[in-house]
Amino acid sequence: MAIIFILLLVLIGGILLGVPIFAAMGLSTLVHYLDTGRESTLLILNQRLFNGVTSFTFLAVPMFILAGEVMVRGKLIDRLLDVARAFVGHMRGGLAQVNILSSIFFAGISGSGQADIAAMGSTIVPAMVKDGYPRGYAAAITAQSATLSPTLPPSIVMVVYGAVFGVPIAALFAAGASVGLFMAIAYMILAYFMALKYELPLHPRATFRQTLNAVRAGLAPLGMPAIILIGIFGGIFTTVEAASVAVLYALIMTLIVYRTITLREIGPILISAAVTSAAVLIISGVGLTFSYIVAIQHIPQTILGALSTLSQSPFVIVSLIIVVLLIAGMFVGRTANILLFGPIIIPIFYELGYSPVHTALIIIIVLGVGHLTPPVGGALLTACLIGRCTLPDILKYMWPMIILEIALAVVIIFTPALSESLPAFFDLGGVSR
Amino acid sequence: MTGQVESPLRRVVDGIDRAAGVIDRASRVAMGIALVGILSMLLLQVAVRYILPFPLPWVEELAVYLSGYIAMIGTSVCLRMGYHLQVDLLRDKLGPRAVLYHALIINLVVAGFGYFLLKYGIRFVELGAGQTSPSSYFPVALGRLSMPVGGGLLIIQALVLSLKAFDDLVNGPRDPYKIRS
Repeated sequence: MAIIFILLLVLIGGILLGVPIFAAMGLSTLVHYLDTGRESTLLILNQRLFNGVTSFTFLAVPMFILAGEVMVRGKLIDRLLDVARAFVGHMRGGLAQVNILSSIFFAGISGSGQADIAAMGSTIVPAMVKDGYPRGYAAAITAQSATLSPTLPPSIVMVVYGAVFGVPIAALFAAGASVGLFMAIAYMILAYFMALKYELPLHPRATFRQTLNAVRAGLAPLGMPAIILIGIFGGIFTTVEAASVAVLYALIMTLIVYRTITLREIGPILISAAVTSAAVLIISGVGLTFSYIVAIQHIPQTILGALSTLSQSPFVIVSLIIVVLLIAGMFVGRTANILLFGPIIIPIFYELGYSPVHTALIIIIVLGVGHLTPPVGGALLTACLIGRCTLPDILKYMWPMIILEIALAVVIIFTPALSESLPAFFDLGGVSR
Repeated sequence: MTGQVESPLRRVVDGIDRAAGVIDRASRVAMGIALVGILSMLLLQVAVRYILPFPLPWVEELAVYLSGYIAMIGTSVCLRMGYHLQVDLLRDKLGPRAVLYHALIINLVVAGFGYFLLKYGIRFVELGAGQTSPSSYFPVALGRLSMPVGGGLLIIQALVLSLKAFDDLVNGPRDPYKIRS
C-alpha cells in the first residue's frame, strides 16, 4: 500500500510540478525498485520501455502522423471544405455545418484534433466571420467539431490505446466510426438550432454541376480515408500497413499529381512528423511500462476496493471515474490521460462488465469533454488562438456545446450497441465481456 | 552594440548551447532518415506479401528498431523544443526568477531519468551482446543501443537547459521568451 502511495505521489506530484509527463511516469515506475530491492528490477523496466517503443503496432503512429502532415502541407484540405460546402452549405447556418462535415473528412486524414483546429480553423473561421457569423461562435464550433478527430479512424489516440491496452485497433476504428458519426449528427442538429437562434445566413443550394466539380476536386484528399478504411476493414492491409500506404498515397498526390509539395519540402516534413511521433512514442512506451507496474502492484483492485467502500453500485463507481476523467481532460491531452489513467481504470470497467471497445469509447469521449471545458481545455484554447477571439467570446457560444457533449457521453455510456455494433458486425473482436 | 562585456559564464554556456544545438540538428536529421527507413520497410512488407513470392523476415524487425531510435533520440529533441506534454499550471503562476529555479530543477529531474535510461540501457545492450534478432539478421544490441543513446542525449539537452537557467539566474535572463522548463 505504501508503495502505491509513493508511486502515485511521484506521478501526480511530478506532473503538477511541471515535470514532462513521460519523465514523471517513468520516474514513478522506478518506485517499484523500492518494493523489490533488486537492481534487476531497473533493468526489467528499461527492457519494458524498449519493448514499448519498439512495438510493431506503434509503427502506425509515425505513419499516420506523416500522412497527415503531407496532406496538410500539400494544401489539399481546402478541397475538403468545398466538398462539404457543396453538400451542406445550403442548410441553415451552412458554414457551421460545413465546419462539422469537413472535420469528419479531415479526421480521416489527420487523426488529430489539434491539427484539425489549426488546419481547418485557419481557413473556415475567417470565412465564417466574413459571412456574418460571430467570431466566438465560429471558433467554438471549430473546437467542438475537432473533438471528432480522435474518435474517427485513423485516430492516433485509438492506435495508442489499442497498442497499449491490447484492444484490436480495427475494432476501435469501427466503434469510433459509428460513435463519431452519431456525435457529428448531434452537432449538426445543435448547429441548426443555434443558427436559428442567432439568425445565421442561409445560402442557395449548390447546383449539380458545382457539387460534381467539388467532389471531383475532393477525390484526392477523400481517397486517403477510403484507402485506410477499405484496406483495414476489407482485410487487405493491417493497420500499420494501411498507414504506410496512406503515406505513399499522400506523397503521390502532393508530389506528382497536384505538385503542391516540392522535393525540397520533404525533409522538413519528415523531421516535423518524426518529432511529433517521438513525443507520442516515448509517452506510449513509458505508458506500457507504467501499465506493467500498475498491474503487478494491483493498483486497480486496490482502488476498486476503496471505491466499493463508498458504494457498491457500479453506476456510482463509473460516475466517480467519469468525474475524475472530466477534470483530468481539462488539463492534459487525451493520449497522456489515457496512458495515465488507463492502466488503473480500464480493469475496473472490465470488472464491472464493460467490453473493451465500449470502455475505450467511453474514456476517449469523456476526456474529449474536458478538452472543451474552461479554463484550460486544450481544444478551447487552441480555437481561441486560431479564431483570434477571447475566452469570454468563445464561451458565450460554447456552453450549449459542452452540455451536448456531456449528454452524448451519457448516451454512449448507457448504449453499448453504439460502440459495439460495427466491430461485432465485421467480427473485429473487442466486444466480449 | 551596448558595449557591455559578456560574462565568462555566459560565453561558456552559449558555447555549450551551440554545441547542443548541433547535436539537436543531427538528431533531427537522423530521425527523419529513420522515418524514411520505417516507411520503406513497411511498403516493402506490403509489396513482399502481394508481389514477391518469398517473405523477408527482417523487414519488420528493422522497422521497429528504427521506431525505437525515433522515440529515444526524439525525446531529447522534444525536450529542447519544449514539445513534451506537461502541465504548466505551476510555472505560469511563478515570478521571473522562480521560473528559472523551476527550469533548473525540472531539467535536473529529467536528466535523472536520462541517467536511468543511460545506465540500465548500457546494461541492457551488454546483456544482448552476441545475440541475434529472431530473424537472425540483426544483432539485438543494435536495436537496444537506442536506449543508452537516447538516455545520453536526454542528459545532454536537459543539463544544457538547466545550465542556461542557472546562467540566467546569475547574469539575468537573455530572452525570457526562450526560457522554459
